[in-house]
Amino acid sequence: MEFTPQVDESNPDPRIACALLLDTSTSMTGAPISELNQGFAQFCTEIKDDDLACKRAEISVITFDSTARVVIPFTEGRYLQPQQFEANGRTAMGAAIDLALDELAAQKKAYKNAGLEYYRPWLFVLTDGAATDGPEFTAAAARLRDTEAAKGVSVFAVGIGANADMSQLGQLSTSRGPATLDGIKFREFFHWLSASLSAASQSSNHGADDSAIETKDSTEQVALPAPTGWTTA
Amino acid sequence: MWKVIGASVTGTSHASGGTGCQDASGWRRQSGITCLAVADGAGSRPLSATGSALAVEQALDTIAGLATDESAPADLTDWLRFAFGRAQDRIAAFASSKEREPAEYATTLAVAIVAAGRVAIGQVGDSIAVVGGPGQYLTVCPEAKGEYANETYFITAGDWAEHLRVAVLAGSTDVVALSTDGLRYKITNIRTSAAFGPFFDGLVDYGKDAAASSDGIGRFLARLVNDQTGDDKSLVAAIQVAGNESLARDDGEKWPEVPPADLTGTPPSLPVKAHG
Repeated sequence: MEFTPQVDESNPDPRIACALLLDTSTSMTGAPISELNQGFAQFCTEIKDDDLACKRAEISVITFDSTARVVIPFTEGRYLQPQQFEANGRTAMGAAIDLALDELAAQKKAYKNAGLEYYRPWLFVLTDGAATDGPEFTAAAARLRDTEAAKGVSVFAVGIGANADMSQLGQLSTSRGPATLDGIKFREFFHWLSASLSAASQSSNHGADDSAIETKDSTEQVALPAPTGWTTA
Repeated sequence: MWKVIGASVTGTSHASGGTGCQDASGWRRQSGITCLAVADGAGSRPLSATGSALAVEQALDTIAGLATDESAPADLTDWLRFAFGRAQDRIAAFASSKEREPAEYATTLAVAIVAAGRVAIGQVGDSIAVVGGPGQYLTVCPEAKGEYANETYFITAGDWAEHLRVAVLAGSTDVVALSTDGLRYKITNIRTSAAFGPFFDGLVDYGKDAAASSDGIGRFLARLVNDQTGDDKSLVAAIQVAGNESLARDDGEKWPEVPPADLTGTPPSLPVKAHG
């Protein structure tokens, strides 16, 4: 007699929420916004190629120009659809960060209510300039750092091109310095992001590194692979 | 009579990541006592496979020693606390001999003592312990969940004793099963921690088959590729294979189901002693 018991197939997969905050201000006009759109479209395809990531990764896109708005609410990778983002206006990065933190909190609550296990969310900020909502940015950056310190989110700030304010981006995280996108290699960036979400979805690497509640499997909630192929040296 | 079978296998993500199996499991029979143990070494700690192996070995040695010691206290809760302490000491001493920190050997530990009419289960960390019989399985003292998946407590932490969950259940049972969290998606409801009955029915049936073996458990665990965790998996079970002990408690009452809302507490209405 072989041991072939029935197992529970009804438990829903654990989730990893990923918020993408994309700068769509006027300075992104032309090749940058075009490459961003193509990169995102390619990401929508690539994420579906991974059986686990397409079910476990939930992606939200918040664009920011003169205002910040949720253009794609948290959506499972398998249902993610490309969008054409347009460049126009100023750089309300602070508002975007505030909005993203609100959205992430709501998403975590939804996971809890649904009884889903989840990993520490990822938050990416991509900008080619500097925040034009200074006081709001300062407060939002502090809120983001606090959330990061409370293990509420993993933050990854990315400067696009030479005019990105890297010192401002440096204020978004105390644990990870900002990276610089090499030129307009959005497609390389999104390819890396898709691969990273695949890796995270396949691993059991999701513990915290607190002293009381210790890390189960990783020193980081979900270890982000080192950026490859899209950053400047 | 109890038949004991069990195995630990490397999870798919540990296999692809080259970390090998960090789970350990084992059992011992001594003087009418059957003792089971499973441990799950922290994936983030390269030496945790040693930690889990030491924890299981020391816990089993300690319980076996108590079972033969006529001066040992009768209270199984005391036995468990002592065994967890000895396991922690053993890892600390081993770490010290290697000039390492105990945290590098971080591991969870679950120990079940199956004695006449009583089952005592101690756990630090996110192990799974299930007792009961067809139609009525009970997940014993599941760990309260942190915010994220896979946050847990380890016996190597200085405050392990505060996180030791002990339950002593009087009565009889068809099965006593211990597992690490790698099976949580497949043998429990991840929201309520309730045991998935059909699995344990299958386990009890299998255990009663003359050909039941630890290799069979190992093959089952190895086949379970899409387990939603990728984690190492362990299962050790003592299965009642003879005698006519019924599932009923000594007082004839049936064991209650785990209340879904109570993920942290000990099961109500049971003759339970809880710590931590």
